[in-house]
Order: sequence, then structure tokens, then C-alpha cells
Amino acid sequence: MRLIPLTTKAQVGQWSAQYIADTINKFSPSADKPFVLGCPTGSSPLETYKSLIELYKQGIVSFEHVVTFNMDEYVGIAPNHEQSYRTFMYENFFNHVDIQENNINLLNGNADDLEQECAAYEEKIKSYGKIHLFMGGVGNDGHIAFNEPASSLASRTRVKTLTQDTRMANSRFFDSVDDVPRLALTVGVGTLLDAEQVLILAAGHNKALAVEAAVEGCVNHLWTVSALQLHPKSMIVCDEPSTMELKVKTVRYFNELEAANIAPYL
Amino acid sequence: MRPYALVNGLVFDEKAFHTDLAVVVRGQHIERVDKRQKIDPGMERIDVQRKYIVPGFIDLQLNGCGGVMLNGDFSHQTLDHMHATNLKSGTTSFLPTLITTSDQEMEQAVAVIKDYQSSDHTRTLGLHLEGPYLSLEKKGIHSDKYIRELKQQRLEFLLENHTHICKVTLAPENVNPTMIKQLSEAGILVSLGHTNAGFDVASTAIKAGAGFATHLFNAMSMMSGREPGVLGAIFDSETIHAGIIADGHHVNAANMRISKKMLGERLCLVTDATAAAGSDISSFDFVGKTIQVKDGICFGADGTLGGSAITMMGSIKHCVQKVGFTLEESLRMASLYPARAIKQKQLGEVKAGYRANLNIIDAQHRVLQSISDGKLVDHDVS
Repeated sequence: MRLIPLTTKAQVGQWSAQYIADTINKFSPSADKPFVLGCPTGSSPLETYKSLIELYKQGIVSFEHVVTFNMDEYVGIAPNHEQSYRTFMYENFFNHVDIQENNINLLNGNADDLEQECAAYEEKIKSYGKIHLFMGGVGNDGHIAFNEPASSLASRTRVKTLTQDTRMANSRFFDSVDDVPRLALTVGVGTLLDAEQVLILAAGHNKALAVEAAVEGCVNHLWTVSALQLHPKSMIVCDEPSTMELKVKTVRYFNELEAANIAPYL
Repeated sequence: MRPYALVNGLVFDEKAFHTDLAVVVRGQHIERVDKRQKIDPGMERIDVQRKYIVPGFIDLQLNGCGGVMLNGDFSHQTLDHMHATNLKSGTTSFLPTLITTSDQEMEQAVAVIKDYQSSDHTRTLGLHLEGPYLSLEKKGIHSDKYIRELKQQRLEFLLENHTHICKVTLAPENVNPTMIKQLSEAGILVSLGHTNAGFDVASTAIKAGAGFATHLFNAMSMMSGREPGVLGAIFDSETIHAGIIADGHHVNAANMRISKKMLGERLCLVTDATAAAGSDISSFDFVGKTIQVKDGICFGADGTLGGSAITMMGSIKHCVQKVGFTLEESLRMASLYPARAIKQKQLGEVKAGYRANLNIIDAQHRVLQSISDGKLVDHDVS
């Protein structure tokens, strides 16, 4: 696992966007060979999306041949609800770039048969071979996507019950905690681990325990993010507050290791 | 021409891009810029497929393009050809620029532009006379045999034709402040350029009404500790606007960033383009001098730069990719800011009531379509 120790949240956005743009460009996607990108929602990736839009405007990256799969979606929320992840993605990213409508894949939280919806999503991913880069955030309790504590590390896309903690955290976007949906559809930890690369964004001191569990802890289903230790190519991009629970030795080690890789993207 | 609405684009309103707006064009004007849902469903719609809808660019200094030059062939045909070439790179209005030449050719040019300008189009906004009242030391590619002082009789000729002469580039050491004041009061934009003046002379000229500076950094006295020069006078002023050539050859990128910090919204992009822009010619004639074109650089026999080969869209791309300006600011530098510099209140923005001079561009900085006085032109970008 790589850890990129940065200073500010804005740098996390900038560095990760540059990294993603670079990865897409090296892949040189075409209509026959699209680049498949896994996308998260929430406050962590906002800066990354902003930076990606800037890079797009500078002509540095194009999303014309990029296929996206989003991580998760609330169940029972109207697609045009301002807090639906579909709305989030269109407002904060898709509407601003040249991505093609039919290349966008979002889980439908209003499907009649939710299990069928999840199975079809997995099939759709398989039809592209694999996800080339899955970007994600990490919850305060270490969840990746909506894979809450004790989720199977072999799980696939499915319906999940949100913990009270997660609902409390997300209630800042709703009128009250009661308005936060109780169920969500999410890709599984196994789905994430199948991606060629996983890039996790961590910013803020409230992510510090999750970062510690991911980097210094043992692989443990109570911190699903720790499953990344089993992934051949994963990285966590951190701001300074989110590394606060790590040992000084750990941070110094990654600082030294990544020094040459940080500057070119900032 | 039937009214039409441009929909499904990212509309640039001078501050930011908006994903939910549509632009309605009726005749030669923008009728409204409004939420897409509010557009009359019966109206013809043009789906721009999530590309950017931005204002048409305004080039305040253009000597030629597409293989033709104004000097030597100032005619309707040349102007038409330049306009058609301009549209491919987004310029919808320009100041045809005549460089230092004889009184006779200047009079011919004024007569042609008088005949060419009309209320039907905004493709030309009047003539830019770059010289002949310049400094010999800073003549650049201009012919020294035509460089001369501004005499009273010629001043009157300029004043009489103020509606057709939009801008005059002059060296303030060769034109007294009273004349600058008269020109400026007549509505002619006085631009400092090809000048070796000191700070005091340049500052006096700015106070007398000089409102613009021609190709900032190029062919003007530089700043030094004890003598701020023309450049210092421009940076020190709170009012003057300036044009800068963003082709990567005329001005170093760091100097562009410095100028931006000093002048802010008063810094405009100009191309100062020649026949080589939007063309693949390898040489052309510039008032008796043969100019070679190599790797996007135009230079005379002694290596002096003789105009540029850049287009407006190319300048914006340079600003965004090499200089580090945002796309938004670079677009304003090519539209809103030049419109303000020449006090045009109907150009340079995507706004109701403004002229329908627009471009549809993509993030690869290609002009896919342009709209000139309401008329839509498709470009082949393949």
C-alpha cells in the first residue's frame, strides 16, 4: 500500500486529480478501449472533482472515453432529490465535463428488485473487464463505500443497512437524521478489491483513526478499509490532520518514500 | 433568420460556467439567457452537447491572417477573408491594423473602412493605425523611412475620421500631450507603443488620455531601478489597459503573470497576427520586408520579430496551459476586457441585449462553431 502524505485538503484534491488524469492519459482510452473509473460521492472527493474539471478545462484530460461506476446510492430517494448521489455526480462532475451519458453507471436505489439491480451492476462491470481505478473516501468508522463495520471482506454489490453513526454523519446534508435513508446500495469490498487500482482520499482529523486502522492495523472486517492491505495496488492520499494517529515513524517513512512523487502533481 | 436557442451547453457568464442556462438568439442579438426550461418549446433548438458557450473574441490588433495582409491590399475582399479566417479561431470582431506607411495608404485605408463598417455587422470596429508616429529606436519591423512626427494637418485628418479610427499606436516622445488629449477626447483610443520614452513622458501621455498600451513588453522602454520607462508608467497607472501577445515567443510566461498581477482586468490578449496565422505559408511581405515564418515565429532578415502567427484561441490555450491562467480569466482577456478597453457596451459577454457574437468551444480549445452577428458558422475541426 502507498500512502501519500500531503498537508491540506485542497492538496489532496489536486494531487489525486493529477494522478487520475495522468493514469487516464497513460491508458490512452478510445471508444473501443474505454478507461473505467469508479467514483465516490460525499465531501472527500469534492476537491478532486473540482480539480479534475480544471484539468479538463485546461485541455489536459478528456472523459470522452471514460466509463464511470459509482460506489453507492441511497435506497428510496428520488433520483432528482438534491441529496441523491446521482444529483451529486451530475452537479459536481458530469455536467462540467465531456463524459458521454451512456458511459455513466449509477446504482438505482428505486429499482423494484434491488437484488437484481445489484447483480446487474456487477455484470455490467464485468462486461468492461474490470474497473481500472476505483477512487473512494473512507468513513470515520473505516467504511469504504457503504461497507460498514463487519461487512464481509469478500462482499459484492448489495443492499446494506446504514449504521446510526453513518446516518448521523450524513445528516448534515439533510433536515434531520430521520430524513437520512436507512438503506443503501453499495459495491462490496470484494468489488473494490477487483479493481486494478484503488485510491482512497482521507482528509480531516476525524479520519485519523480510520487511516491508522488502514495502515498500521491488522486486516479486520471492523475497519473495512484495512482490506486494502490485501490489494496489489492501493494508495491512501492524506492531508496532515488525517495522519495524526499514525506513528511518527510511519509518517516519516512514507514522506521519505514518496517525496519525489508529491511535488510533480502539486 | 429564425430565432434559435443554444441548449445543453455550459454558458459562460463572465464569472463562471453554468450548466442550466440556454441562450436565445434573435436576429443579430442575444435575446435572453435563461433557464433551459423557460425557453419557448416551439423554438428551434441547437444542442451544443455540453460544450462551452463563450463570447466571441475581440482582437484589438490584427495585421493579417489566412495568408493575407492589410498593408498593401486594404480592400473589402481582404477584410472579408480575414473575418472568415478569424471565425475559425473564435474572433468575431477585430481592429484591422495598418502599420507604419505613407499618408496615401493611410487615407485609402480610412476610405475603405468607412465604406466597410455598417450597422449590420460588428466584425470590424474601426481601424487601428499602428504608426507612423513612432520611435525610431523602437521601430521593430516598421520601416524607418515612413516613421515621422505627427503634424497638425495630419492630426486634423485623424480627428475628422474619428468614427472610423478606433485606435492609434504612437510614441509619446514624438506626439505632444495636447495632441494626445485631442485624439482621446475625439474618441480615438491612444495606445502607447513602439516607444523609447522615459517614465515622465509616458506618464504625462497617460494623464493626457492615452488609454492603451500596444503589445506590452515588446518595442517599449523597460523598467530599471532609476528609470521605470514606459513599462513602469503602464504598471504605475490605475487606468491604462494593455494588449499582450500570448504566443510563447513575444513575452515570457513569467512576464505575463507579472503583468496580470499589475494590471488585473486591464490586461487584454491581442494576436498582432500576420498573414501566417490560420495559414501554412512560409513567408510574406510586410511593407517591403520579407518575413519568414518558421515554427510559429515570424521574423525579418535581421531576426526582428514581425508580428505573430498565433490565433485568439491559440493565445487562450497558451495562457491556460503554459502561463497558468484559468480558462475563465483567459476567456475574459479575449472578450470582456478588450470590449471594456474600447468602451464597447454590446460586446464581450453572453448577456441579453448584447450582440450575438458567440463561440462554441470544447475543452481541447477548439472552436467548433461560431456565431457572428447572429449567423451560425460550423467549423471543421477534424
